[in-house]
Amino acid sequence: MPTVNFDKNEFISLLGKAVDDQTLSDRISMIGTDLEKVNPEIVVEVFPDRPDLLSIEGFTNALKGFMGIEKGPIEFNVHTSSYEGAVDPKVKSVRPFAVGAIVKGIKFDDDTIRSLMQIQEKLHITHGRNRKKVAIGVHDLDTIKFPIKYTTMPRDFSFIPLEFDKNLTIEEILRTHPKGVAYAQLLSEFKECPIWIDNNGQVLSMPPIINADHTKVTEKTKNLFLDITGTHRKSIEYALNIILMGLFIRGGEIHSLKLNEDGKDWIYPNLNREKIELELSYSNKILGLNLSEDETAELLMKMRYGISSKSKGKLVVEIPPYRADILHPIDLVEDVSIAYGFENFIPEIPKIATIGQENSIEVFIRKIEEVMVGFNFFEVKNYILSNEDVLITKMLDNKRKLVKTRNAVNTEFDTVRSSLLPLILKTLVSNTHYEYPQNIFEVGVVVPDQNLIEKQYLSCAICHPKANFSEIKGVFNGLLSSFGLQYSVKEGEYPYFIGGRACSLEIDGLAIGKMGEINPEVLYNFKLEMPVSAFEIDLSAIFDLFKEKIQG
Amino acid sequence: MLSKQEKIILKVLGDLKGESNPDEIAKISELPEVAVMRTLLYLSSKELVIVDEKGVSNLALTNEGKTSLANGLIEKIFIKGIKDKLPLNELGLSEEEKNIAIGIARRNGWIAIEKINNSLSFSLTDKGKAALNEKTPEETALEDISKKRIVNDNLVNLLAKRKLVEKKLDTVRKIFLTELGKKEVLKGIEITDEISELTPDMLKNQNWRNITLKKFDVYSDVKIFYPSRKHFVNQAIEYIRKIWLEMGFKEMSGPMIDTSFWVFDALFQPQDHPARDMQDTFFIDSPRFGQIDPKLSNKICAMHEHGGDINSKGWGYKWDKRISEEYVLRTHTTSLSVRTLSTLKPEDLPVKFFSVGKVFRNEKLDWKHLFEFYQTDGIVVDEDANFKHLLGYLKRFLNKMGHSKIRFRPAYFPYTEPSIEVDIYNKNKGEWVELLGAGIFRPEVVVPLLGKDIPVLAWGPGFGRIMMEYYGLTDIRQKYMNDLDMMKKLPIWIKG
Repeated sequence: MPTVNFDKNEFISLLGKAVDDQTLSDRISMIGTDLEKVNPEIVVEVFPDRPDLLSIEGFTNALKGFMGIEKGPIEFNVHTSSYEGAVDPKVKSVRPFAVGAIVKGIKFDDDTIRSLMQIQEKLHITHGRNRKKVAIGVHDLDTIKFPIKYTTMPRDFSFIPLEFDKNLTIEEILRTHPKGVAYAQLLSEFKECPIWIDNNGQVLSMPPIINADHTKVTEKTKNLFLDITGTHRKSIEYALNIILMGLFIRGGEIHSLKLNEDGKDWIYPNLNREKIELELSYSNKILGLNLSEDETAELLMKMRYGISSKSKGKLVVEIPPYRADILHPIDLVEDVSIAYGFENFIPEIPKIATIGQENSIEVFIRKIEEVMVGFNFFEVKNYILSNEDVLITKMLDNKRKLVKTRNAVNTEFDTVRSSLLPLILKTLVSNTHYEYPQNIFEVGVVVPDQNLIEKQYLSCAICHPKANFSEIKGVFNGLLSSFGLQYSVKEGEYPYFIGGRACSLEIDGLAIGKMGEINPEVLYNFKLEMPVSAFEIDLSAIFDLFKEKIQG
Repeated sequence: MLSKQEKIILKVLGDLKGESNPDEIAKISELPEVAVMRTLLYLSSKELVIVDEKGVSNLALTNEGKTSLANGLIEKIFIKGIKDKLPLNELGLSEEEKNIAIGIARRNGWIAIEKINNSLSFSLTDKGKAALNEKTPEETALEDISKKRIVNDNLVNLLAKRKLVEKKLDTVRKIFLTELGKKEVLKGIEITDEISELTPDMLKNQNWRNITLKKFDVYSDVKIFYPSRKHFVNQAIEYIRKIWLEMGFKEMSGPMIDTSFWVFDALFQPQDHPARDMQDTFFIDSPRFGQIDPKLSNKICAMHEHGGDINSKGWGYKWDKRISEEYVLRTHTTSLSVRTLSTLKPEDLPVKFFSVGKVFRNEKLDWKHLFEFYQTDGIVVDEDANFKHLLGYLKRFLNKMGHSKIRFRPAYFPYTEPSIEVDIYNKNKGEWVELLGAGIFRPEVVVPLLGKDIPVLAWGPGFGRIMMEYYGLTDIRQKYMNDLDMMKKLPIWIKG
């Protein structure tokens, strides 16, 4: 989640009301953001569904409503103008969507500049998925000759990028300019790259990488052109509207841009409020409240919605054009609950009868653990992720096909464990400085092979100077007899057990595990200088054999 | 119950009219002095005797003093040598002792000294001859001191200067029977044999009736035996399971390796959602893709693309089935909640489910972060459930976990609306701490799975933190370090 920092004086001045820190921290927490602190500046984590709260103007706008300082939506005023442009069909396969708008009469004091930079950067990272989905360019309007065009250019096309004093080709920018290097992968698969260009052939920007130096904003700039491009039309429109909200609150005058796309004219920005119907009964049922139309309307206005009408249990709600998160009436219901105040709901437990019940394999596992502890074995617990060296190489067990992850950050833990036995040995290795005997066991999920069938295994080892086959067999015998189970053994060969001192374990002819003395070669691989005898069994298989008995 | 030694000593004291000292007791009882002292202390702690201690300054012979008492003072050895005409270097005296001896003999007028051919020649005077047969006052004093007789102070000082005697601080102990002790003696004391271990033979032939078992020092340190036990994480999990069960929840289970479909898509998480990034999620290498039910996948696809046939806009993008087929290690156990919802029939409601299981995040392992940890999830599927009920369940649940001061805050999760963050108040830090996320599943999640928009209340408390606090762990990796010594010394989980 993105963290944003707001200057407190500026925040209070935009809020239009002096508020003490206590109230501020309480109200900011209850509006639906994670407050980090209010002193000396305000730091909040904004949830990803509310990009409109990323700017100080947007945040204070919402808080003004929530705190009852102002209510209802912002009434935007868009001047129709003659600014025009076109979207070249060539961009379709590269970066298909573009919108723009003009803002005039901006006073470029420090606050405005800082706020504009911050919202641009935060939108890029979050809402814009690191510029992939949405990229924003801000230009000095008075350097641009309209009409403009959003098109693509080959990689040898050149212009002067921001903060440079000479022409660079697109290829050079992507290889040498800091921004080019940082975002080059977004364009790596395309022969031609997106370019905004004006009627004089001057480049405005190369989205989503860099603007041209020619149109850069200076302290003398009064009028802006905003270009927004991306891969998702709705997302770039929201980004545009969020930025315009901030500039409008700062006193900017919004002028329209007509963009011709596929022979059709699109007028931007679209700051109209979409209407959604909210059934009062739906809202009340979800919230467990009994609010009237007026009360609900009032709460929605606190959240800065408009209400076009309310009658017969139905409210027609107007959604502010910067609210990217309203997909369904349920989203309005949530805002009703926030405005009502979570602290004002009275928690209640309904009187419904339900029966609690555990999975019977969990009961079985618990009983297994109890018996093992009764044998005076200590339970250990290893990570489910391990690695090939432990699971295969050290165990001399090269026939298995392991389930590996593709992208593990910790290379020591990149493979799903196929057996518990190697991890039991690893545990013994990390305890060699403590006294013996060390008798341990582990119960847990393993994924034996690439069929991805998850099983519960039990692995159990005795480790002391005289640990041998007979002793571990005695333990196994006692374990199974505790559950009233008969088993048989069959002499077997396993790379990790000593030949002639290992067997497979069977119940009713079904192989359920193996047992033996660990091969000294394996002990050597693990650097363990103490004899170990062990067994490992498939509890899921045993459980299947007699689950009726457990389920009673 | 008195030990054999205690009985012996009480008896001795009784015979001595209730008053004695350790030396005397040791002599009469024939017990070693140390044993007498130790036993007297036991008796005194039982208030049967009083041990009265006084510090007394005593004179004692030094080692040299003892030698002198046995062999004679050096001045005597010297004049005896003259009498026997022995060469001076055969007297066994050091050069220094010889000089001292000459000095004393001359001062006492025992010898005459002549110088012949540059060397000294000694002869005994009459006084010297007489001295050979009598004891000097120093000799008498040495003997007196050794026998603890009183000696003239001048002589003591003289001998002390010659380092033949020294002053020592001794403790003198007097032992008295208390009233209680006297009563005990009056009752009559019978002394039986003392044995250190009871044996099967003694039990068989009833010899135990004739013996007394030696007393143990119950205060002494012994080797500690630690019990085997379930892993401490499992102990805490049992506690969480118990809370769910007590609240009438039924356990659900499901795969740890699952398709993205169940982990993300069914939860209405758009396919470009940052949580689905490679940085956060473990993707499986082989097999890479799994099967998903085509009918359900069509419904989910419609929901993502345009909100299906409900009153939702959906996310408005082209949903890719292939992406949803990718296997991942589940990032939350909420995948089990949606799997469970997909199996429910209308007649099953109302119903409540819980799960406890491992979840995975592709994070670098350090003291604060694990790449796999336990999560628990619960859902309530009830046609009449509402937001107040969710708060009610949460409050009860957290009370059971031992948290009384809690706060509900608006939050955001992609699959719930409204969404709640629950904070608990940490008294020690004096601040609110996030504990769990909760909410009501969005219609976009519920409708494709249940076929109808039924409120599904959901919450998933973390319990890693309460576990760390309970066991006093400071590094999260300690949970799976399997340090046997550390684990056997941890307290048993007794919350519940």
